[in-house]
Amino acid sequence: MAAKIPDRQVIDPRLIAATRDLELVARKLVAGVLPGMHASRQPGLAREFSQYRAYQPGDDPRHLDWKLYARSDRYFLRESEIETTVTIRLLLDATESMQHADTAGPGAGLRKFDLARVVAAAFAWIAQAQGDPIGLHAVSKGGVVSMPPGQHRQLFERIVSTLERLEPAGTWPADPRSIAGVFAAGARTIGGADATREITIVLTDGHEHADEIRAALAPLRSRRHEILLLHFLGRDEIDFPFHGPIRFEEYETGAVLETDADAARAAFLADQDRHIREWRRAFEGERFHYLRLRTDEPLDRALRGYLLQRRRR
Amino acid sequence: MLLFVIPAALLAAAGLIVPVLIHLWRPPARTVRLGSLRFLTSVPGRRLRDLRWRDRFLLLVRVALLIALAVLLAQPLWVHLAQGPQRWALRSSNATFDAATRQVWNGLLAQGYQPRWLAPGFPDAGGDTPMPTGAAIDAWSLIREADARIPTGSKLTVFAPPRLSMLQGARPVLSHSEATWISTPSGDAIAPPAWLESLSLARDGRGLRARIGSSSEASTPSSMLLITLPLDATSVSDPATRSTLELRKTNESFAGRLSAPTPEPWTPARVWRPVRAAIVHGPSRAEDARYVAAAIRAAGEVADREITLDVREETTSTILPEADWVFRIGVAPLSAPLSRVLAENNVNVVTDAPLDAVEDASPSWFVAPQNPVDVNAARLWKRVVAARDARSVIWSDGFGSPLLIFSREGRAERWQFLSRFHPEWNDWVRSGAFPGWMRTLLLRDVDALDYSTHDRRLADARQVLLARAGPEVESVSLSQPADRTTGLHAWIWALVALLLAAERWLSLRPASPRPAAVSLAPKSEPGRAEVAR
Repeated sequence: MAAKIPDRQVIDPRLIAATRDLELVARKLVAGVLPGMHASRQPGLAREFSQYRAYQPGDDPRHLDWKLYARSDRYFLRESEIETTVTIRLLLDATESMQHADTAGPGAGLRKFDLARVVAAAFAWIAQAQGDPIGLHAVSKGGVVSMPPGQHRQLFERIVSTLERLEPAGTWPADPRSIAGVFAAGARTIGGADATREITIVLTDGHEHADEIRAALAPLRSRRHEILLLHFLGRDEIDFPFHGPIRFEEYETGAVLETDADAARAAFLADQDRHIREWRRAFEGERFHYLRLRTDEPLDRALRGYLLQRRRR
Repeated sequence: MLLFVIPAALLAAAGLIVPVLIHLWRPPARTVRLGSLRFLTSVPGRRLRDLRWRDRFLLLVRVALLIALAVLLAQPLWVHLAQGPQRWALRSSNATFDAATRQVWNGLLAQGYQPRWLAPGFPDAGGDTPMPTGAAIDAWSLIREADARIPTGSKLTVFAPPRLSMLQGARPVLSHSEATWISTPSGDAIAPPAWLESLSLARDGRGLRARIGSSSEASTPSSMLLITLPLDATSVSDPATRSTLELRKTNESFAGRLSAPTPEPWTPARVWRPVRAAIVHGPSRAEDARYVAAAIRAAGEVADREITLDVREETTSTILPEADWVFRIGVAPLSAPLSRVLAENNVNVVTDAPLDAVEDASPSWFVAPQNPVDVNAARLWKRVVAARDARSVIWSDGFGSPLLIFSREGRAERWQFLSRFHPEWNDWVRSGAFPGWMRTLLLRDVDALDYSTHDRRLADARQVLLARAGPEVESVSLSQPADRTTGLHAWIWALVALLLAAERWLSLRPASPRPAAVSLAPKSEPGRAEVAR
């Protein structure tokens, strides 16, 4: 179904910064992009009835259970569990570098992490609304805070609560197996989930020390899961709007570098661009999607654009 | 040559301490936190070096701008020297060249020195130009004038005997040239150091008296000889001065000259008329009259002049003698008619303290300037108090009271001495100054003899070492024609504008983008970052 995506509602980054209720922001965000979600559970033809679900805007009217409508005067869709379930895993980068906030511009003072958790919450809300299993793996302080995928409403609330409490700190674990381990554990809890579709949404700034993020993501590819990489980039990093001698300090290591910003700009931008291309080259394929999110742009616009693009496939 | 009208304005260049301080002070760099330093080219040492170098260039431009402004304030002038340095060989007219000196002189001329006489105007001394004669040479003044005439860096070589009479005044300090004094023989070996100072008829009319002055390199010109010649002599040799005096008689007048070795101009013999003096004194003033008479006689002896003297005591029947000078000592003042008669006969009258005057016995002193030898003041014990009147006061005593008063009556002179010619009143009458004054008063023959032309004394060789002025002596060359000057304001304004534009461009231009640098090092080791270009 090619639903029309309204282009009227945007989430102002300042609103995100001002609102503490993460769920509210997430729902507002989702409200703007909802028609772009993946096709909901396959109704009708399922071998095993799963449940009736209330009709939601965006559902194909052909899948309505007209008999039930006749009885209850309400719209319901008949869903089949096995074929339509898509497990969504949120892999949130909560390392120190996610503290990054632009020094100027529309998103000044807004941390990447604030945006990332809004997006994560939004995806969680969507998944919950659609009845998809949702799990959260937040990488922080060299470890992983993990909530294996589940379908309960309580799980969604726990995820939102966790997101609200999380603060970016520490570094990405150097051992890629730690990520793979929690993913495997999550698969086991669902039980036979290997057979289900799984989307891993990675929310990260992409700052790594020695390719540890790529190393962690590489095993996920082999599991034939889709990966959506949301790359959060600040205006400071994209435009590098600095001049003169600047003392740069790195979030995670505290390393300091004093240099002439004007002289270093071209090399910085070229290196970063090359780095992103390397990422895309490494993961480009059927099941990998890359989306760059600028911290000074409305989030929903970027997300909507992405979802629209996916729908066309 | 660069000159500044206001050199002190160059001190404004001290203002360049301001940009220097500004450039020395580096503001601390702003700190920005980034997610990763991985993509930053981390070559801080090189970066900062580059930064400093560029700043240093800007600093240079700013300093140059300030210096240009200071120079502009100082009003620079470019002086086009009219002529280059010159080299003069100056020869005094009394210099004689021996072989060695001649060799030096010719050597200098061969080097391009201009031969000139050490004389006013510095005439050419080469070729046929005659030797300047006449006025005495004032070497110091002439060298100073030559130094002012020639451009800076010139050289002067003076060929002259270091004769004392030529070195009058302060030794010059040269500001444009370097001067060398080459002492030459003075020519005294050829020309005798003697001259005929005066020639006159003797008092008795039967002979001629000649004064011959002499001076040598060692002796002063004050040594003079007085010789008496018979009227019929035609020449006489003076062994003392190794000179020969020639005499010539024409129409009852005589003339003489020193002839050997080079004839001098003829000097006519002077014929002196005797001076008649008379002293009339009161009964108690015989001793005063004696001092006066002695002084008059001494004056005649010294001057070799005949003075007739008539001394008489005043009585009621005294008739004033016929005289040129009448000394009235201790007698009543002349009556007005008598004084008028004396004035008509051109009789000069000298009187001393009037009899009825009030005595002032307070010790004092006075200076009789007629005798330059005796500079010591004469002591004055007594004088009389005279009413001040319009008559001119010639001498005053140490307290300013008039002592010698002069006036004229017709053409005749009236002198009044407000003391007595007696040693109890002053010690002047016992000093040599007293007959000296008499000679000045009566004979009027002490001319200011110009000995400088005859002074043969030589100065010490060290006195003719000529000093070059230090750089602190500011002097403007009087070289002719005058140097042309060009103001440099327009050029410096243009330079200032250029520097200002350069300074603005350098300080406002954006930093030049650098070629892409690829950092391959892990971000945890920024110091190891390598740059591949």
